[in-house]
Amino acid sequence: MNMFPEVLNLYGDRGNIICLQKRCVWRGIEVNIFEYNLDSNKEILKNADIILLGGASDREQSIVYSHLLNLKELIKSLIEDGVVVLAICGGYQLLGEAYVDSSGRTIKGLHILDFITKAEGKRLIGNIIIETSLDVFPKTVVGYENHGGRTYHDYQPFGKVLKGYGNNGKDGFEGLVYKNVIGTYLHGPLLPKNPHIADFMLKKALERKYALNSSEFQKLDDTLEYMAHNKVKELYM
Amino acid sequence: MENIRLYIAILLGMIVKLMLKLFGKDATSAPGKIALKIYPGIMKEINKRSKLKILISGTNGKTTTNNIINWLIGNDKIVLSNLKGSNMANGIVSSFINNFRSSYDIACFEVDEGSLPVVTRYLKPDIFVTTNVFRDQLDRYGELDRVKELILSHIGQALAIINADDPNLVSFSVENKVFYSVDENLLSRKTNVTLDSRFCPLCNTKLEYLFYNVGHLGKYQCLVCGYKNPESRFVITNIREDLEGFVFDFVDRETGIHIENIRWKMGGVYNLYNVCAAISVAVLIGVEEKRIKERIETFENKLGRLEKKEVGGKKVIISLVKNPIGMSETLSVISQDPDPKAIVFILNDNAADGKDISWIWDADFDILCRIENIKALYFGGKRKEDMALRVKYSEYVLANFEFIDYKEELDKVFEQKDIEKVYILPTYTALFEVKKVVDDLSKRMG
Repeated sequence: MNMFPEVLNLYGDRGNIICLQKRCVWRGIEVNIFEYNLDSNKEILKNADIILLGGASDREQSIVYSHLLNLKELIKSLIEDGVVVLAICGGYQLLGEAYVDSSGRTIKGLHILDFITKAEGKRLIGNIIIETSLDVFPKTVVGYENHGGRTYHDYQPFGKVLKGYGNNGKDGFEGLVYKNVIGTYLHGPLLPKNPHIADFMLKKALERKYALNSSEFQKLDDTLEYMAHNKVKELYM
Repeated sequence: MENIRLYIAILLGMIVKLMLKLFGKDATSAPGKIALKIYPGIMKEINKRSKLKILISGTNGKTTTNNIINWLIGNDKIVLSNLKGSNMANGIVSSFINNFRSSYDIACFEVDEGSLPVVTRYLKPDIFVTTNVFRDQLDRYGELDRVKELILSHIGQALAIINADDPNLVSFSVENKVFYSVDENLLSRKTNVTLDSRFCPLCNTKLEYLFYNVGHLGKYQCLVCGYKNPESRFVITNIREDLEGFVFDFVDRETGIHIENIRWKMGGVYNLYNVCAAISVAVLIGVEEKRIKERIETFENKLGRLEKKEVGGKKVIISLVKNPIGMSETLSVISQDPDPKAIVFILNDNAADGKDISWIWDADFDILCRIENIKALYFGGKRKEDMALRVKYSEYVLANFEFIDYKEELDKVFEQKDIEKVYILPTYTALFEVKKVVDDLSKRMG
């Protein structure tokens, strides 16, 4: 389920959905992609196995905000039930309680999780490399971050920053993991160059839906994926 | 005192230029950089010495539009311009140093959106051409809305020539303006995937399109508030395709000027927008109709925007690609060519290319499936693996491909027996380097 792709699509995040789709198709897993748009029926969200929530510019984000607010309880119950969510940048910030902008104004979030984001000083921009807390191999995750907000929380982080800024440029952590939710600032887009994260999400979704044993999960030839992954490490670590 | 600083600045700029020339290096930026250090107000001089000032800004088409305008004006006027696309303050001042005179009839510059504040501080345009607003190197400018505001707020007192088919631009609250547009044609589409801008700038409702020409450029309307394309004064219409490009009419609805059957040798609907903007400027500054037709028909692109060369009996087409829409449109142009071919993608992530290369995921690579006779794909540049990965995740089946060092191994491509054409698609910093390599190979291999 790609949430509001007409609006919440920034910095190539479309690549994440392309990646998940292809990696299912290559394994012979049937996949249906739904775009949840401003005029979509709430019911279709109930059957989602994976939800992608991207970010957008302030103006565009405000367009979808009121729609998302109507879905708050539903999304919350889906998350508690273990649905897989990838929330990036503005989408990640929306999961929290609030965003405090540079003039001190508070913009409410969905408040599905307890954390806040504050706008502080200059934007944090550049290549980023982290060591993830997830049980995957390799441990590194590479991407590109570009955000003005600083996020502070006590949840499990998505990873430890090896290079770049992460959540706030101070505490050395990036993103958030809660149940099967990954919140992160990593664009790039995230999944194509980090196939282990893409597969982690797919496995979790399949386990939840079909109680799949992970040994049944076919391995793909990811030579090219890891060449791109390693190039970022080589150039920017 | 200011005068002394000016002349020292120019003198040092010229020395830098001579040194660079001596070592066969490009002098489109460094002379200006040093001159600006010594005398930051040097652009005031350009302003003072130029009778008419034209600025061109927007995401795509700046360099092509600037080159067409210069070509339309011709040699009987003294024109100062940054034809090679070096469009930040350094580049503009470099062009002044490289072509230093006491006065100019016309100064015509393309200006990088991010450089508008510093450039327009000193350089006050009479005419301001806006091409379009697309997603570009977002790590420099922030999101689309901010780019829009950047352009809007720096038009000043100029007469704005605005693309009516870009819904982002017409909402500009600019007083002194005329619009231009490109009519529906054979290549217009009813649907589109690479869209940057889908919402009404006035009421945020999703815009409905009658047709798309390029990305979000087209005929649009908002069903809620009634916002739609404004009436254009300048229009390219009656567009037909022929073997070499397009044939079209240009109409000025205010004066009734109607130039028929203009032949234009470059492909790509996006180029029609550049031509339309350029002819609009020419009409406004009094270039004759007959001359406009002649000149448009003899325009040749020398700057890597679909530039044609020949190496070892194979045609080489080099086209700069720097954002999703440019990539999608270039692939569309290639899809009209049935000849056996190789395509070379070169992706760098230096500052001038945009350090964030995620834009390649917003481009429509599925178009590759519609291109006949691709014999091989090559990937070069600092981020070649990312480019190959992008193609792997398109609908095109990535099988026959190779990584190459585009500075050292490009000859390999031309040695391939089964091809007649080589398309090279570099990002900005690779463009000049790859052109030099192709020129050298052309001399060596004929």
